[in-house]
Amino acid sequence: MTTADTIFWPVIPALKAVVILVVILHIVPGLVYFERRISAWIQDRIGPNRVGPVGLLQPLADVIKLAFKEDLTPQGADKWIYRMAPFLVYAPAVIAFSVIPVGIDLQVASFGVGVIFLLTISSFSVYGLAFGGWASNNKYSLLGGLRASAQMISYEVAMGLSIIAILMTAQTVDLNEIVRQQWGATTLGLVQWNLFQQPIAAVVFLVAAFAETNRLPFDLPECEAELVGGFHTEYSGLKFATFFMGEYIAMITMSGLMVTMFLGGWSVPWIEIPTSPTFGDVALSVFIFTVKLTVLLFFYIWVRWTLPRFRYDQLMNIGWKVFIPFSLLNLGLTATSGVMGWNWLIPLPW
Amino acid sequence: MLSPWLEHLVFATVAAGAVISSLLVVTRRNPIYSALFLIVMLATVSVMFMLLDAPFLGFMQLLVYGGAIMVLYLFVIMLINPREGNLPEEGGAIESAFAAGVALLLFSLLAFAISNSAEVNKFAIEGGIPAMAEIPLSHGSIAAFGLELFHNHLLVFEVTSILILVGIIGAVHLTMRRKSSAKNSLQSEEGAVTADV
Repeated sequence: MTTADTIFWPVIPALKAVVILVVILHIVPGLVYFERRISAWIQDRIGPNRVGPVGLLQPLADVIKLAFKEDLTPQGADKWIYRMAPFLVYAPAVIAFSVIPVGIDLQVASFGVGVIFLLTISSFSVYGLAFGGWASNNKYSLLGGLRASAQMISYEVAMGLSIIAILMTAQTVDLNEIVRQQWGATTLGLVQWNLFQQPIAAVVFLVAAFAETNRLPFDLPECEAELVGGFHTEYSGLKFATFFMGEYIAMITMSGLMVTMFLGGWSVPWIEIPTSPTFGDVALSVFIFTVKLTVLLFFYIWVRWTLPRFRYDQLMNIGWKVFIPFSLLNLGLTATSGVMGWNWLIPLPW
Repeated sequence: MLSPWLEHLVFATVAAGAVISSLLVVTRRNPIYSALFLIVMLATVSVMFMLLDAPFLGFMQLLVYGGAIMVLYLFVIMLINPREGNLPEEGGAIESAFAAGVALLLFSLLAFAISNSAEVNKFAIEGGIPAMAEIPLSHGSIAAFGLELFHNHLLVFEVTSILILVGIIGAVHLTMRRKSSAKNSLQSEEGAVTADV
């Protein structure tokens, strides 16, 4: 390493981090618009179409409205924790995205324990919900915070177990390597995505991702019908916007992880992965990742406007009595098949 | 990895952070703040693991203690809902002195054990801890960690798992008993007293 390297090594990762941050921040308003239009379409309404062409400037209007709203702090609220909570939701979601490969070997931070880093950081977002609910000094908020902590802990277990099954067959935690292993076709002619290799893990992961990001049908911490707005009842203006953005960014991060782990990431089954990628190859892989991510985000929105909300005890019951046993079973099956060499059951990708 | 002066700087920062946040854990009156600073403390310790080239252990520390166990602590604290008005009285001078004494005793015990351990004596004879280059690259990787846990320390690992199993059975037993007694006393209104939050 030369002197220049020792001084300038953080420059390129920092640049990548800034680019990703800016891109994600701009995806969020787009995603909100996307969601409002799709929900309108699902419910046979028109949706926002007045501000700008086909309502495209609606997100901007929303942001301006939120920025100029009065910023309230309820009486008896714990000021420090109340102010900090929105950032505790927002920051982990953004940081966790940094290890997701958005193109051929293209991610902000690449280090040995990629998936575990992502799980760790995203498990911290629960503190924002719990602290926010407690600090508001409101019974509904407190209940929302309590629900959030119990729900996230429960589904984290199922999510972790489903990811371990993938790591077992992949024999690595490097997300780029996991993507490479999913390239190509199996003996049955199926695409070698983990979605087909590990269907149980994929379903468990998908459902757990909904619960972890507090999206319907698992948005019990918010639950307008019973808890007014749950943990963010008392929040207004930009603090509420920060919570809101955190939720959407967490959704993008979870979808990104799902694409990488189960849907082949930035690869396409019939296009060979180049060993020394040109700029065009990288651009294509980013495009492919974006397409897959968009499809999954559409799925998120589709489910939200189709399924009704679960009851809290139903949520806990299916979490502990269905998803965790099934993912444990899947883990046992994967381990047995790996030890016995049952390639017909769960083929090893290497 | 990091240049030596940067490593020293990071270590000094997280070590100071760990000491300060630990002090804040025991001195805050509101248990929510204690929990918050305990999370900060766990994060600083996990950074120390990463400085020692054991990122897996560091993240596991953060994932298990920071991301799961502390959430459960917080859940219990929030159920009690401590606020300015309803905080219990703190103990008097005698209790504080007793607690300080116990802490000092534990500290000197640990300091004695560490300074007299065979490992430290070996390093003292050899003249310092081996340089980074002598430690194999796989040190601290998931594979190395797994081999250590499932080969060299298998018995300890399995005994620990039995301990955890006992804990699980105890927890299940407690909740089952509460459920049935609640049913008896309330003539079983469905789901009325179970832990619906």
